Amino acid sequence: MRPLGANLLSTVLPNVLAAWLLTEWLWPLEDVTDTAHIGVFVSFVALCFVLYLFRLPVWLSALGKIVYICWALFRLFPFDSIIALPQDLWRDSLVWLLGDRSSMPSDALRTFVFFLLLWAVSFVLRWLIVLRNRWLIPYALTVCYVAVLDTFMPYSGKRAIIRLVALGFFAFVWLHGERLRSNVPSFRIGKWRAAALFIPAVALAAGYAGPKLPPQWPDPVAFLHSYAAGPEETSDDQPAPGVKKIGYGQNDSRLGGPFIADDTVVFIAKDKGRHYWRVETKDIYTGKGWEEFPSEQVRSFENGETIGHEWWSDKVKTVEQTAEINRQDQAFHLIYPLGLRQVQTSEPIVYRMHMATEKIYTTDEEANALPIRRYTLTYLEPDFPIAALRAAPPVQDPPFLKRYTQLPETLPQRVRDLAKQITDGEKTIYDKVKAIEQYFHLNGYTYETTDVAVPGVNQDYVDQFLFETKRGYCDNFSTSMVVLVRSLGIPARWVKGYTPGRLVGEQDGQELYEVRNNDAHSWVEVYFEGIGWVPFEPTRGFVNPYAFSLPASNEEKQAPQPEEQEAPRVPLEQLIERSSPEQDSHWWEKFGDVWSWNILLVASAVLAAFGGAAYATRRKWWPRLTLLRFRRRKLDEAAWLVLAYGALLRHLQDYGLKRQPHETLRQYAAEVDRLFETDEMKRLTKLYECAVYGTGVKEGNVREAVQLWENLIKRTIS
Amino acid sequence: MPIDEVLLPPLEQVVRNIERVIVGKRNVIVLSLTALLAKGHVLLEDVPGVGKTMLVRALAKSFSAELKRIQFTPDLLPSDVIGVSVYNPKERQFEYKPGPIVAHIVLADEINRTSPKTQSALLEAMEEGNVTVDGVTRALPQPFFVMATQNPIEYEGTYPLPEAQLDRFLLKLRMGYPSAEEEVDMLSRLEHSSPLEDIAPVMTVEELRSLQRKAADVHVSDTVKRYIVELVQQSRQHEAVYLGVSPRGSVALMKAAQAYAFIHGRDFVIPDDVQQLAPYVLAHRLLIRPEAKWDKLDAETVIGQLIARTPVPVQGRR
Repeated sequence: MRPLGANLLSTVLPNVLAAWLLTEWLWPLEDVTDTAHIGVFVSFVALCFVLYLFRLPVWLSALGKIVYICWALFRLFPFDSIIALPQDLWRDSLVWLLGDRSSMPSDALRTFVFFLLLWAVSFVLRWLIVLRNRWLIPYALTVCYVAVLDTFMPYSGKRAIIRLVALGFFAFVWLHGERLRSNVPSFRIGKWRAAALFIPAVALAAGYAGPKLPPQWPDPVAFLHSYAAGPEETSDDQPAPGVKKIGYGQNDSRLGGPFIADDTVVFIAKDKGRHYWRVETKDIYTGKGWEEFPSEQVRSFENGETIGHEWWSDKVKTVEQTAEINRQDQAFHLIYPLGLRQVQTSEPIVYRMHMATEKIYTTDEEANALPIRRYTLTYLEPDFPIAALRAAPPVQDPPFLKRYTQLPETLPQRVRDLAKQITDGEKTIYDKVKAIEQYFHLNGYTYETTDVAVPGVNQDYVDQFLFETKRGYCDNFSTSMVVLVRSLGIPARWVKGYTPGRLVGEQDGQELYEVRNNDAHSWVEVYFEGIGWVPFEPTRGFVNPYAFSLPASNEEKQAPQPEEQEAPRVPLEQLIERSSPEQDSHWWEKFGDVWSWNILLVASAVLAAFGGAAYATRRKWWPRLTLLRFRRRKLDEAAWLVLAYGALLRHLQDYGLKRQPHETLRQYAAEVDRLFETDEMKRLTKLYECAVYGTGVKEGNVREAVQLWENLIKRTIS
Repeated sequence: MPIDEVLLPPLEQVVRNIERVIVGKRNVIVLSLTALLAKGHVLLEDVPGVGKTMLVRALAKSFSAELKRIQFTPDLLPSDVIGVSVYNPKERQFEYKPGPIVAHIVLADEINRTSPKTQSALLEAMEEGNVTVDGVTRALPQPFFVMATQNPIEYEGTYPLPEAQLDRFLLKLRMGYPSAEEEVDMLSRLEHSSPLEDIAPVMTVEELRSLQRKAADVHVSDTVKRYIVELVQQSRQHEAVYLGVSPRGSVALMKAAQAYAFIHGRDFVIPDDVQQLAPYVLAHRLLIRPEAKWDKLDAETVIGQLIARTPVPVQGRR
């Protein structure tokens, strides 16, 4: 009979494995999509499996899940009451199904559907892993998923892969053991399980502590890009339509045409987190491209000097960060993050910020351009409060408004109409801007770098993209969004720079990003009265790296609520809550700081050596230990014989005389006696039989049994 | 491999007696004694002429018990087995004429040659230990031991016994041919006279009855009981088995093991007893799937697999 503990373990563990696999799918969502509050979904998965574990009746476990979903939705979204929740969801789904399907369904509805999906997936996983013991396919899919995300998306799957490898080893050994046990009744699961824990743990520890080679393959993404771009460049029969773009360019007066891949590394940044790198902004849209605002206003500042540029009002919560840039090319301007405060470099450089474009040139004191290579930046990382953005009134300042809502006379009316159509029903400026930002995600717009049209002589660049081609890269999306926003009288501008690039490693607790010319990017900033310029990201396949937070519910109630608040449409991405870097360090990292891995490694090596030596010499000391143990034990005779005989069986097995489970003791004793050329085991076994199968041993026989037992134990000493 | 133990002295004497007429079949003799002491019956399945009758006659003679033989033929009637009431004109009443079944030891030869009606008359008498004629139930003498023989079922002109009736036999044995040396030895013994004449009785029927009682007192520990049950339960889960061993089979296995332990001079049962007896007790209580026979799987092989699959308990239950 199996002990209860083992039974419990073998029911709980497959459930834990399945739940773990599913959560591995959830964690990356925070980085690669604009989903927030992943913890809520992870808890739901855990709940699903806990409920399965208890084998509740179907209706009861379904009820538990529904209660959780309702509670989560109620906590995440501003529903009036928990009773109104199903009604609201029903209304939202009707609105989406019957009405305009070009927009996203409401966030509450999407979250609800996501919960249902998780429910279904957990059911399937349970069936596969827990009931069928088939875990390889879901596991392989998970590994592929993490690998693909790590390669192609701004997500670092390093930890996930380590976790998965550990999980994979463990699950393989464990579940295979379970299968063996169900087929072979005599299978020794205990030893198997010990091995299941020990071997992967040692392998992982060694792998983790050991030195690692740098990546042995070139970056597959860059390779794929260059491979895809290669043939097009050679078959250049048709002359390219005049315009094309390679990486970051200075002149944006004529946009359009293909974006040619260029893998040159522009700079390497050592930073805490992901954000965009700015170079400049432009604000005159000509219908073909962007021009700078004619202004010579310059603000100068020096090394270590606060630049004195107010980025936002104090409604925006900020955290001060530092970053280190190492430029790989020669340039005379800064690449800097939003919220820049100070720049520090080793050379005596005067920084001149061109106020019209916010481009910062590096010069000497006579205003001669000086190249800059390595510099440290101090900046404020913003966290935009959605409530304040919603409450922002329209901008009143006429010259400012004129400058940032400029649009060419030639802009076709249908662009303005489209802007109105998209924002129809949105009450606040913020929601209007958000609706335009989201518009590109649904209505058939695709990201495309090669086959991108150039507007004809009488064509508008934005109009062509919005209504005709619908394919393009960041410039198309961002320019279109600026134009659409401006047509509603909301001030907006076009920003150029770089994406966060690719995470290549870690150094001194900071992350190293490699930014290539391919990472050149453009996005949108919209001005909110009383707050400042706020970045938006309309381009498909890109995620706004900046944090937007909803206030905690109790604060929200105290904050002055504008009437517009009634609209329950809160896009999910606004819920993103970035944990501050301080919270990011986990206890195990602190532990790792105190106990350096080297010390741990040495300690475990010493322990392993001791363990190995003890194991190798066990036949010298272990039988003696047993002899000692049983001589000192004071028990009644039958109990002593039962225990001592059990110990003898273990020693004989260790000696190499394995008793098959179906062998009776007499059959085994005959084998043992044949090897030792004696009859002691047979005699002892007959006495033991009396004790275990019969009614007891006779007193006089115990002394004989002790003698026989000691002789046999001594025979196992070698 | 039989258990390496000496038998209880009087029983050893019986075995020696029988060994004088049956050469090299010690195991079959010990097993027959086991069935006798467990108050069970034996079904011998083998071709004619291997010494089945000799075995029973020697057995009866050793206990100085009355032996009767019934030769089953297709036209045999139940009354030919259990007896019949005959009208006695002198006494002016019906008088019971006992059939051949009323004896201590009955040899039922070629039991599967007769009709099911007659078979069941015999089997009922075996199960209940009494016969009912014209509404009057009469007890059979004790001990009552039937050794039935049957030809292998593939033979023509047989009525195979249904499983429910096979269940009534404690053991199903096979004699098998003797080896060449044994056969030569047998010839030289029979050269001049029949050794059956020389067999002297070892004990009385009374003594046999007391041995039966003692055999029933043999201790079966919970550990061994559980082992028996696990073995039987395995038979119900075996992939080649259509119908597993019934609980009656577990009881039979325990009873047989008690007697077997007693014969070997022990007052408790050990797993070795169970393993030794399992093929003889369980094989005729299993129904093998027809498709398994393609893989040459017969009941004996399956029992061997069951034993190999069931771990032997080597520690007492705490």
